[in-house]
Amino acid sequence: MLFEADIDLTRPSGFRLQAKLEIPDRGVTALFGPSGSGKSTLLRLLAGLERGLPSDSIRIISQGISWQNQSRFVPPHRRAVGFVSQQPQLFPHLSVLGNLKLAQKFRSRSSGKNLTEIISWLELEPLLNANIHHLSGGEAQRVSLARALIGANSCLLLDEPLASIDVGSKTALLEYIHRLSSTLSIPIVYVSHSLQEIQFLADHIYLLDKGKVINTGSMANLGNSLLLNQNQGDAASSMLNAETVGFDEEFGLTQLSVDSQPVFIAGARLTEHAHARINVPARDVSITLKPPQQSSILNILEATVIEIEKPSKAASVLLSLQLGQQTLLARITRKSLSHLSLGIGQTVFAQIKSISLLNENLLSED
Amino acid sequence: MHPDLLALTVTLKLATSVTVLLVLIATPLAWWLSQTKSRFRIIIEPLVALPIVLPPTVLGFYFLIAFSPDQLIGGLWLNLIGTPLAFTFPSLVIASCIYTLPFYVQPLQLAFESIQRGYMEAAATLGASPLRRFFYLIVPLSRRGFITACSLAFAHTIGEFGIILMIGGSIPGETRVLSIALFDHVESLNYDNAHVLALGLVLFSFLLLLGIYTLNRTSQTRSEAGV
Repeated sequence: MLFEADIDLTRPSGFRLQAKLEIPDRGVTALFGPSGSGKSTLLRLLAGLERGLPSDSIRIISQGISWQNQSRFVPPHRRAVGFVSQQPQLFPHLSVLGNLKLAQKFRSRSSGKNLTEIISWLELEPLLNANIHHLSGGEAQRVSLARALIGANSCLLLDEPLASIDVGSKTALLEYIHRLSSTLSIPIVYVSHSLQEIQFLADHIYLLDKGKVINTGSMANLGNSLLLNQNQGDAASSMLNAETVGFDEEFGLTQLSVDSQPVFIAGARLTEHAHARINVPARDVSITLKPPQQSSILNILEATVIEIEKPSKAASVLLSLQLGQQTLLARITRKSLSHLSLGIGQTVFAQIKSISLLNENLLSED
Repeated sequence: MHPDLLALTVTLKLATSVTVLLVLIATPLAWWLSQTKSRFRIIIEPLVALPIVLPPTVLGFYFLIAFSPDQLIGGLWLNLIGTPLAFTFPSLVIASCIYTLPFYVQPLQLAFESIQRGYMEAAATLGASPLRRFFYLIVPLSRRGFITACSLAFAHTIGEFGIILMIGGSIPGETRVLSIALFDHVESLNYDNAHVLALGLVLFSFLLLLGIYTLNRTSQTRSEAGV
């Protein structure tokens, strides 16, 4: 374990944060929860930007070294973390390169990463001499990420880094972070309230609510769970691992295999036998009890109902379906639930109306 | 040397000494005031501002007493240096530092307070110690504050009269500054010389203020243009 943190902190406002974290030394660990759940505070405690009050009990250990306990507090500048917050916080009196060089100077004694390498990872060459006031939100955040990487020898802490940038840049930055997570030998702790970001990036999840960890686990176990997806409305969706099988020239479709059941997606010629991650919005999955004979829907998967969201006053409920080793979420109306009299263990057919490929650009042949 | 030129040298020497001393001593004070959550702040802030509202003669009167050899400060000085403090150049420097303190501290404190906290947090996580944060970020980011504070301190010291009259007397080459020399010329009805000094002071002060405003404006447009 890279980090172990045991935190019990009470704010003057009465908000209490009680959390135990164990962050593995590789991959992306997500702290996920609604705003006010305490996830940002946790991250700031890890960075040393907050230290709580003497009455709080805060214990943080990084690679066996105590960063904080009752008698010890390692200040942020000695923690060698990389920290990126919602705002890029680029130093306004310096250029892009000036910002990166200053970060290098601040870390002069550490081994530090190669500046040229970081610049090429994040494709910053064209921006180096730019005035930071002329960067777009996405570009500025990319520079901020590069600056944070320069001295990040223990971990990279990202506090909703995509929260204040436009949708187009979000996808691009997510790709950069995703690539970094496999290149870097340090762990990334990623705070967000966006389910899509978490599903795309995370390997491990801590689910927080009202200052408490309500669940934790690997992405494979927890990513498509009802717990994570409830209260997410239309954002509720499942991530599935698939393998590419081939391309159907006649109809322009790519065939994938999800736990040995075929799935087709339009367009994109992909490398065969490659690993693909697909996203299926729960609202685009409907249920039939018999395999439909004549339907325009191509993707129909046989699955077993394993969990049904406790019905509330809302018109719809979420179902969790077992699909080989994976789970698929479906949002159906309460009326359909009662009409089909669905129960746990029942075999159903999930009709999927839309699928998106998440790592498309990693797979394209051309 | 012409007595008025000598007065000019003393004046410039005084203004320079006061400005340099304030940069060294009052910069940390301005920083502390801009950051502290201490309850003493509520006492320290009005104390720093006090010279703005007090008649210079009140301060001058207390300095006159404090600098006499049988009082704490004057006595300490006599023991350490071996000469009395009252009616000397160093006594002018000490008194002027206190009298000019708010003119230096206030613009600087304002500049420090306007620096976004996020920059400091970013720098801290990048590995910058508090001292490095100060020199690499706070100083360049509050450049305008420093220019204004130093210019005001310098100009305000040149414009001093009441306190110097009370504690310095008019010893040529030691405590006779321009404003005192002007007063002496007027007292002895030597209006020609008085005119030269008065006009000189008006011009100097105007040019200095013009300089501050121009600098502030250009650095403002520069930071708006992102230079």
